[in-house]
Amino acid sequence: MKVALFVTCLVDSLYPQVGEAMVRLLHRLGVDVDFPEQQTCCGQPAFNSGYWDDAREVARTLLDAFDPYDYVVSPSGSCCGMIYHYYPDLFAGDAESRRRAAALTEKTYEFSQFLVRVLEVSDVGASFPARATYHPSCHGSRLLGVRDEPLELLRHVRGLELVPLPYAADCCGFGGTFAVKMGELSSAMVEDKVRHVEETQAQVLVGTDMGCLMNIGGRMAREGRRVRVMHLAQLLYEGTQAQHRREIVG
Amino acid sequence: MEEQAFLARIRERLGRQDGAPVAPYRRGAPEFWTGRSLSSADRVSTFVERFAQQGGQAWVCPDLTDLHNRLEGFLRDLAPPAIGVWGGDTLKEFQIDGLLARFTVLRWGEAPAKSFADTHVGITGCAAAIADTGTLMMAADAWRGRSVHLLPTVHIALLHARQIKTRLGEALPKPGERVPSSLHFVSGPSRSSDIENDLSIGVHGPAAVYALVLAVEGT
Amino acid sequence: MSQTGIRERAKSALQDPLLQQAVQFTTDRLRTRKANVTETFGRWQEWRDRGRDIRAHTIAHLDFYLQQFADNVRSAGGHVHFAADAEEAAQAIVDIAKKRRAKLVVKSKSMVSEEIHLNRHLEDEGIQVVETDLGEYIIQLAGETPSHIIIPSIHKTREQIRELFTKAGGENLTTDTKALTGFARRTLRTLFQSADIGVTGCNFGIAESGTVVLFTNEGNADMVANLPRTHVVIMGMERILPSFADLEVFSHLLPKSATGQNVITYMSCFTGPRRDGEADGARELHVVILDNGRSRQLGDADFQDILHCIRCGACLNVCPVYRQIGGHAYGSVYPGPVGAVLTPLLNPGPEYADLPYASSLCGACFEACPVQIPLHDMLVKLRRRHVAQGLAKRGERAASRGFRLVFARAGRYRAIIRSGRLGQVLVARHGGIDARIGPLRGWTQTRRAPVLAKRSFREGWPGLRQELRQGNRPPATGTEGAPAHETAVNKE
Repeated sequence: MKVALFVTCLVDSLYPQVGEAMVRLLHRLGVDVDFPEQQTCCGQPAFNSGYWDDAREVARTLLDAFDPYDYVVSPSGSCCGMIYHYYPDLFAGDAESRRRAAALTEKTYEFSQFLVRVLEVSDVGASFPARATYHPSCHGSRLLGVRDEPLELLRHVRGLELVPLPYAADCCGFGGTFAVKMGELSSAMVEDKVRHVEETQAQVLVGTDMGCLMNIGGRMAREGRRVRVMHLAQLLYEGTQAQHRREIVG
Repeated sequence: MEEQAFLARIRERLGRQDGAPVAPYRRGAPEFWTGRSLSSADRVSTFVERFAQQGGQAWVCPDLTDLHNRLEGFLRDLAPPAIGVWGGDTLKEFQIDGLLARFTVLRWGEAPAKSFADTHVGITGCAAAIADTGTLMMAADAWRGRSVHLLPTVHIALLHARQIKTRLGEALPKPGERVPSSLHFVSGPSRSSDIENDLSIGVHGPAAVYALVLAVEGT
Repeated sequence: MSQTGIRERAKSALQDPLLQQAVQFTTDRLRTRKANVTETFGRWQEWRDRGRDIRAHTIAHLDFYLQQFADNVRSAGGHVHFAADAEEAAQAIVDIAKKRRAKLVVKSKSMVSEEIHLNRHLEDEGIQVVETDLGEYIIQLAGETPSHIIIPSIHKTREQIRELFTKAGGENLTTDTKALTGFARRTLRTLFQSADIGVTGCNFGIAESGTVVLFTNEGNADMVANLPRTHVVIMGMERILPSFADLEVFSHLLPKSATGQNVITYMSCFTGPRRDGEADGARELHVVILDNGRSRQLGDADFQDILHCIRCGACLNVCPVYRQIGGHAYGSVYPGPVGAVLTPLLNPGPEYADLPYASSLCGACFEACPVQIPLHDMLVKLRRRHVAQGLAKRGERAASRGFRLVFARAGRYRAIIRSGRLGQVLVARHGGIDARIGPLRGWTQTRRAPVLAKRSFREGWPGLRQELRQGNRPPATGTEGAPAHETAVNKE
């Protein structure tokens, strides 16, 4: 099975460690991913702002990059949601691109989805003794339908105490360009989110989208909060390393 | 705007021809809903329970004597200066004329409609009741004025157990059936939460709704 | 009519903690109740599917059902008026009022009457108009407009209400709910009885019988419809259901979605005016059917579904934006997600073109909608339309063009990341950006912005690939994952 990583522009440029954790974890699970370099971005920033022509040209980099693969796996529910939910509309005008977009839609999986649904793995053998809470990203859960998979993976992490996040389904206020364009509104939303995270007294906030995590983490950093913000792939990979060390020592 | 021009604009936007037929569609409630039905005993108990959930109170009366006793009890406690009642023979089966004799009673169709604004209690029957939602269906006609149950502070409805349907759909008019000028579905007392989300009862309509369900057939 | 943009209005709403508190408390309550009642009821998705199917079918055949509805209203003895726009609708009602020499009009809650600014039109003719829904009565006394579709006075405290009622003649009122509602009941009762005309909205018009259906909790709509001589119904043309059988579906979907009630307290079905021999009910029934931009949505694959809306307000109650700013900040009759879609559709042009941007596109509205209108998709498509119409800001257009130039070619993208890393040296401190000026200030005012990684993923990829190819599985040590071990986003 030929698997490509769709790393997303955000992870590529700002959080490469997330992509790396994902690649390493998949490697542990026997899946070697490839990284076709033509890929850049799903086009969402332009798409959501109404510039569909610009978005389409950018989105084509994905059609080209992932053509030869059986599966595409990505650390972002939002970017996968973009492909899954909006590419059919975005490429509606051109039959050939539409066909290629449909093919991409078929084989694209968000990271936790890929583990649980494709690899049928819900226990990666990780151990992570900490109190954690999980923020479901809006696009991952609502556009893509990723709801239980991240929780299923987290439930199997040894030592992890998973506490429910109040108002978990409420948007953190990121929304891409919304966060800049409607800065005050977005800030008010993320302040609520941070307060709810605080209420859980979690040491770790886990998510499946670096957009949300950048937003929530950015607010917590400004406030000097000590909650560690992690992508699910990071937590799982780090957990397997800890488990691995324990096995060697023990 | 002229009616046909108004409709033509819609037709044109929809790309439909004048007089084009209507495609079939899945009409009404889902089949799992329309297919279910409660036993007559369950209909009564469910109605009583749901009616209470809506803030009303319903009692099952095994016979007319019991119904009379309860009604008399309410009226004794409420001591209403004036009672509005449906007119004609509409409540004949419940034989309440005797116990109303010592009150000031306004009968619909006889007393002027405007005088019902001053009634404190309204006594009515109902066209049907719905178990699922704890609802009374009131259908208006010459003897069954809308004001009788709308204007007083307390509304008391008398009904037979056999009038209770499982779900709303059974009580709603069927295609082609003549529909009364007013069908009023009442589920509990008037309510509002407009002031700081604090529930208040009786803001415009009745503050209390009672239902007396006669379990056996009237004579 | 909004003078400012949504951003400015949102900003001022955000500075009103009392408003925020009230809105959050109310929406929390409504959505929790909704969650509970739908869970108890069960098979909610199947009900939503049926609701959507019925609405889609009705709207797709609206010409037929509207004709049938109008014919049946007339055969039951009512009058039907068709109004192309707000002006025509208001004029039709003013004409009825003048013909009846009306001095007092009582109203129950109707969003469409707000849409056509009916009160202003009637008052211009010297006719007194009184809102009788408790919440509407409160905001009418305050000289305001509704801030929520279902609970219009969501933003008023009991102390403010007491002041308003005292000004309206209430003596020795306390802030007790009972005292306040008691005053409203007494005051409005006398008005119901002396009013010449009652104006109501219409939740559903049943085509097969020509029946106007109203859903209310207080009972004021029944007073308004039954007690005055003339009953005028104002309805959007899309408010049709084919049959009573379909009404059963919406008798569940509407109250459960709106307030989390299992059933509405009063569902009132009017088929024509009072009949021969009947001693109450309006003697005359007029139904005014309004287009006002609705027909423009028909046949438009992107937006026709907005006409499926049943005005339950569920999308408001789950919207994280509405939750922060309340209804008035939308500057339009219809607030919240549905308002952000409907308002610019009914009023094309620059005035409301910014409303679709007041959303993070989280999709909570779609999830809550009892008839599954894809509001979040519509918001994106409206932005697209505004761009196409040249309503977007020039700077934004340039930014998007820049995005395309960079991101449409991997090589260019790679080069830009590299040079960007050099540029950020000027603003980054301790691994983050805190400068509160510049193009990202909307972000950095309140949040630390991340910096570009020292080595992007694609730059590190050749090394990573080689390492994994050579290494054994599983990796021998845990140390090679250094970045993964210290990746806290909020690391100082």
